Amino acid sequence: MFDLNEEVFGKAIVDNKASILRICRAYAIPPLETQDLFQDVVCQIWKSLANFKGKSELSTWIYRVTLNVCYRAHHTAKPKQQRTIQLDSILYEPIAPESTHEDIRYTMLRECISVLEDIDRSIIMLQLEGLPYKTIAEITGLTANNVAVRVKRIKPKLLECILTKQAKENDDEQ
Amino acid sequence: MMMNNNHYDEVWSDIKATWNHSAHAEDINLEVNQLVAELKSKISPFEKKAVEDDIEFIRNNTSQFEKNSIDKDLQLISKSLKKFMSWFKK
Repeated sequence: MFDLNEEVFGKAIVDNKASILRICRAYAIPPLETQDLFQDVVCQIWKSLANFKGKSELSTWIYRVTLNVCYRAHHTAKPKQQRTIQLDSILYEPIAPESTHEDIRYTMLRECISVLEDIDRSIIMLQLEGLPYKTIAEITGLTANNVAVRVKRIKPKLLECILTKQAKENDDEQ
Repeated sequence: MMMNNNHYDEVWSDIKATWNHSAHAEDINLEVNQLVAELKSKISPFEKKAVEDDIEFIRNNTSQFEKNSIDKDLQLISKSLKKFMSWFKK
């Protein structure tokens, strides 16, 4: 029998699974792994759901938690053996990419995102998630104007990086 | 590398599609009842409280950084304006 918090928690995880996974995957540059980050996010949501005051949408709050967890993992990468909690009830199954081309495109995107400053990285991921500037501002603690200015600056940088990598990939193939 | 707007929009659409598709690279199966039971058994109330405090700390400091940064900028602008006005009055 669930109490209200457990029900809210369960629904939160199921409804936001894909978003959490996308962000974790973007941060999962070795030694970090997607499944470990996902697990950490789930644990964090579990621990701090009682702290959610309802001032924003639950999904907005979950984005913030996910980014904070990934940010901390990125800056203090712990070897797997030192992890204190392993959750056996979360099962991971990597799926073969539809094409090598798709896989390469994703790797390029992730590499280009990874060279951005921390705050810019968060902003562009949230932009890719399709969130409005106002929501991105809520999550990052910036103003909506500041987010808009940064997005205008980050997008061309990201595109330039990807096109450069694609051009190099095409040259290498020839 | 110069790009026209159409090309820019096209490439950005491709990037968004790649991003959206990235969630499908892994299948994550979880049974909520089991997950909740496992979390209850593995995470203590003390740890819950300690992490709540961490989150509050991070949240407050992220906003505070921006506030401090804007304060500094405003002070600089104010100083420069005063200098300019005093020079202008001479």
